[in-house]
Amino acid sequence: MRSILQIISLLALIALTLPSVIFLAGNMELNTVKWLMLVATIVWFVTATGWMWKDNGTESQQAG
Amino acid sequence: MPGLNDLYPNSIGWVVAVAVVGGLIAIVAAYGYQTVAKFANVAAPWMVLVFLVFGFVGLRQFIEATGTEVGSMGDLWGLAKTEIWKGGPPQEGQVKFTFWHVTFFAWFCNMAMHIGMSDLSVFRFARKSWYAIASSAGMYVGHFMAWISASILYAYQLHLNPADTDVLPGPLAYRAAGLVGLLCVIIAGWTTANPTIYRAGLAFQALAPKSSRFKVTLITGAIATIAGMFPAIAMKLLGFVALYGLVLMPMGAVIFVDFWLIRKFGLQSYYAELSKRAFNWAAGLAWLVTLSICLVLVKLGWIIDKLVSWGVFTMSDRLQWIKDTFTVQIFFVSLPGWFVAALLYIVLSKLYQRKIRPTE
Repeated sequence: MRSILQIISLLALIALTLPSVIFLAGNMELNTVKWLMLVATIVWFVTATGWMWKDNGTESQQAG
Repeated sequence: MPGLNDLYPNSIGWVVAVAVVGGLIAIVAAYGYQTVAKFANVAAPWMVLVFLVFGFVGLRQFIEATGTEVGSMGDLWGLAKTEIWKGGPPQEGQVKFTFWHVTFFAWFCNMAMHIGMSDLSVFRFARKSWYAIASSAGMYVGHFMAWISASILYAYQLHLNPADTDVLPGPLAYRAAGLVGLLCVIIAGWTTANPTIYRAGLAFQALAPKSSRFKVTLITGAIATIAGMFPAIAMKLLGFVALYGLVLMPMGAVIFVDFWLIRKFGLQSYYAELSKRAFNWAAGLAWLVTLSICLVLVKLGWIIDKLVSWGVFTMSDRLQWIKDTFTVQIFFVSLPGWFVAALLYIVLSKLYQRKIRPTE
């Protein structure tokens, strides 16, 4: 489960950035870029929280 | 919203907005900010990439607005030089920022944390020394890259309307990346402010160890919030940050020398503790003398002008040369200042530790 979440969150980061590169190349509208970034952001926060939050919690418990 | 040259709050809306945001940040920091720290960890990779996107979007907007054909790095360089960072006179009352101002300021604007060692309040929890590399991520990604992107967006705003000189991060980010841009600005501000208030609270608590960290952090947050309401501080952030970094910088040099170098000179680290003294005069003097030297260098032009106006000196070519050559802007004085403080601490420790032997 953790690996799947990590792969999806990595793909979300790519989806966040790639549209702006395509826009820079002149092959996409800015509005489309903004919508894709919004979707990628939602996916990132949902999936990354799933594995990063737990990691941090474990870390602070160990530190404490 | 107040302008760059305002001194006092100019609307109820501004005061309420600062009070609400400052109050929330202080409350979260007082509770220990662990949740915000976790959230910041999740947001960090996303935030860095959104900064990068700002740059890409701004660049494309410039290409379209100017009709530039970009087929090579040379074309891109030409666009950057002639349209984006083309220079020009500074706004009235503002210092003209050159390439070196930006470079030094991006490096040193968090000097209080990195060079002044405020980072130690957070890094005390680090289990490996290389965790300190996190500071460089803040500087090189958070400052250099983010500022380059932000400057493209602002230059584009000026390109569209040269009279529109308002520096409003929210609308700039929203125009470039929509809701995601706006969210990025809010989260970036939030995750920067919280650790700052938290460690400021810790620092004040160190002065009165029996006081409650919760209360001290709230009081610290309240002071910072009230200060933030005054544009005299909030809108002069560059100079203010340079000044408070300057105040802490000599003590950072003292800590560095005391930990890493001083034994190589046959001297003792932690001398105050060893000699059971509450005050290490070598450290105190190194701080005070360095700060005095730096302030004199920053204010040298003003001091010479005053002395000339009082008739103490007459302005000559030589005096003018001294004024022009040795007056240093506050943004640049801290780098030489660090070495002055380090050298002074070693020399003063040589004298101080010879005079006062540790009581074993």
